[in-house]
Amino acid sequence: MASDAAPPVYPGFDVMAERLAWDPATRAVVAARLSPGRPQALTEAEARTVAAAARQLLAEDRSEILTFVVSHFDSRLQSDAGEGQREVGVPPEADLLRRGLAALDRAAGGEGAAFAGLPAAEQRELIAALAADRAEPADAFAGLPQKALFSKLLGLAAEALASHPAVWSEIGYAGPAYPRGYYRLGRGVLDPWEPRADPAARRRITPREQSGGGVSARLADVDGRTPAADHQERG
Amino acid sequence: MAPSPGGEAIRRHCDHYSGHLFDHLDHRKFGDDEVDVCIVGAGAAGGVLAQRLAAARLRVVVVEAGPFWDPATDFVSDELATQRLGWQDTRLVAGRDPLKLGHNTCGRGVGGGTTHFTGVFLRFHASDFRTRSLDGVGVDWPLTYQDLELHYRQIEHEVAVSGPLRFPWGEYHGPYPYPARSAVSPNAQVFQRGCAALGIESCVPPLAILSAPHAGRPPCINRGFCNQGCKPNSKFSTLIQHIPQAIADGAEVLSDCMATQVEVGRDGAARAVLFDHEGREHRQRARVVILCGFVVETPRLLLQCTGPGHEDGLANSSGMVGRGVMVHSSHDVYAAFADEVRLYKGTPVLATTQAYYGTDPSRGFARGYTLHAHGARPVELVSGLCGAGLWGLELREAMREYNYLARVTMIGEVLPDQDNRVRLADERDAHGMRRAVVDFSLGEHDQRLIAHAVGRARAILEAAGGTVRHVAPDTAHLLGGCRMGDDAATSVVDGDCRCHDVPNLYICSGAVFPTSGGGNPTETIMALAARTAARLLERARRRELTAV
Repeated sequence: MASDAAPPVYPGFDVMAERLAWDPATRAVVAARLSPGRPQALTEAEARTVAAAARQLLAEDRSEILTFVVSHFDSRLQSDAGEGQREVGVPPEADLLRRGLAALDRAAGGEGAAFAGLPAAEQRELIAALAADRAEPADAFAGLPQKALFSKLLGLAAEALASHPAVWSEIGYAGPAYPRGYYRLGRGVLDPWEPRADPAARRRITPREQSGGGVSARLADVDGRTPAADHQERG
Repeated sequence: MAPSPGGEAIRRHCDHYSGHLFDHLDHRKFGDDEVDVCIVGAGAAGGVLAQRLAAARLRVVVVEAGPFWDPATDFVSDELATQRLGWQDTRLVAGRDPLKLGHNTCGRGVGGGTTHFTGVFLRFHASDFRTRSLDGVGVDWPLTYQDLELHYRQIEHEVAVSGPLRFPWGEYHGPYPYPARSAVSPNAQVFQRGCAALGIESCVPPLAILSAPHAGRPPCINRGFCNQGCKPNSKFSTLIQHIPQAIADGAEVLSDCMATQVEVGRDGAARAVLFDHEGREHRQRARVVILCGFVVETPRLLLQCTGPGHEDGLANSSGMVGRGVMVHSSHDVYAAFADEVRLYKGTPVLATTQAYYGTDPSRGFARGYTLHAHGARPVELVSGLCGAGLWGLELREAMREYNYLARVTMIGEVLPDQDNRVRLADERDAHGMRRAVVDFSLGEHDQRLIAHAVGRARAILEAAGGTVRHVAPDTAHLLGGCRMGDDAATSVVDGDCRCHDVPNLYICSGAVFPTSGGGNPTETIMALAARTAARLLERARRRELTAV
């Protein structure tokens, strides 16, 4: 997958090497992500289904990152903090996740982490169908809003991914900045502790031009021709 | 109690008054006594009111649902661990454009939203208070820019706002108490270049962020985590300024205390606030109650206060409680550049234009918007990318471009619509209170404004040499729900923020805004609180505090 195949944009940069420059509270929070505990709320089968889904949702193979993603789901299930918002008609988060993971396994043709046993291409197809609200067999998802399930799985997985120090290193995010701050703010000017990009990197990371769907189609929506289409997909 | 970044609960003192700190409510300063004023909510408005009223030697108690944060230990340089600065309790959302709440729009804990706002400190323009008269949309406020002018000025001085030598738009052009932030972020430099190429005026915005030392606080170090809580205390919040001043002047602040009821006497006047602390009900008697909760919680509280004479909720004879909820449209436009930008560096907003703020009939819609160069950290980026429909390989490729992306964010006026509202669900929360349902749909007019703003944001980024990659739909700021107005039949409070129905009950926060304006609202919320305090003190001096 992308993260393994592509050469690093910031070769040799490890954001954790800067951890002693961070305040202790931040350091503790970030360091804990490198050694997440075993799931408490998720069953072993549920954890495997989360990891398999996250692998496709995030195009991510590294087990240390997937383990943290699973632990993030697990801590959401243990926490009594609210969801911020929940659409009317969507089950509460714990319910949506638990029933959603079981439904993925049923749709994969079995019980207990069956989804994890599917070939990767079929996993991706099933997730793409979920995003479009047309995953089959429909009765596997009976009563579950598919798009809401997709958004919940993607939202939790993506916020965990973007909080993992290995990903910070990969994208060249210099991370926590207290008490140190930033001083060299001019465009193209870097503080000594910031990552340096491989000069050849820019060409490599230019995304492919989109062909239908994806980014370009959405830009057309927002440009004012069909504004109504723009916000329908938001929920 | 709030979960800590590591998951375990943070235990904070819940009772604070001069010289005293308790982690229980057994030694409350005023006990069963009636105080002059009980304020619900210690955010932008509640903090200013508490400070003003305590300084005038009124007996003040503030009841706040969330914790009394300690910036040194509770704020961390991390997005995931600071989501709890937002109001995370579940609200139900509905409508064509169900809102994203939580950290996106609401604060929780002492300081409220000021702990995690960007610090952009803009006055509304005079036209914002008269949209019906001038443009035939929305509704006029019962007060004018002139009524707030003095309070804007006072608030700017007390928080030592840093701002440009000349601010080009609106009624006030400077000077500001402190000089503008001088080093601007690379993302702001991109914005300035794009604006200059198109002949659009831009400037460093006025910010509630220090450019030089003030009151023992250091100037900003460009850490960039304004939305995660300022650790150096360079950014103003009522947590570090107005609330400590109020406590020093004799106010009592009760944190981790969720208001559950405004108790009403047989005469129809408010007489106490009931609140829940760790599962036990407590009561604070007061001559005047001021609700400074925000746009969802204030109507929610009023709607569940029912009784003889107010069967549909307190202060709701007009049926307007909960109605007219607004946001700002806040699409983000990301463009990629050949050279790195690095969106993480520096204060998030360091370049702004209000060139499109006022009505221009040729655009095909009334009112307007502000555009900001707006930094982003990785979680915010992926949230926007996922919102724009990316996942899997596309998401990862977009993330790898992070350091090459610049971003412009719009703050667009959204017109009030009575069907955008807070109502009560059957489902209940841990306090036994019915959850709020927030209905929200953007109107066709709002969509036209968004399309225009996104078009201008694209043009600025392209003029700077970028290629637009993603447009992420979003909203910011909640306003309305308890509109102010002169007519008791169509509004909840009058221009002094006093309820038409209940003379000793006030509502003061963004909830009373009749229209949203097209810029960040915090300074206007604070100026309104300062004016409300001044008007209330005039009444107190005339001994009319509780008079009808």
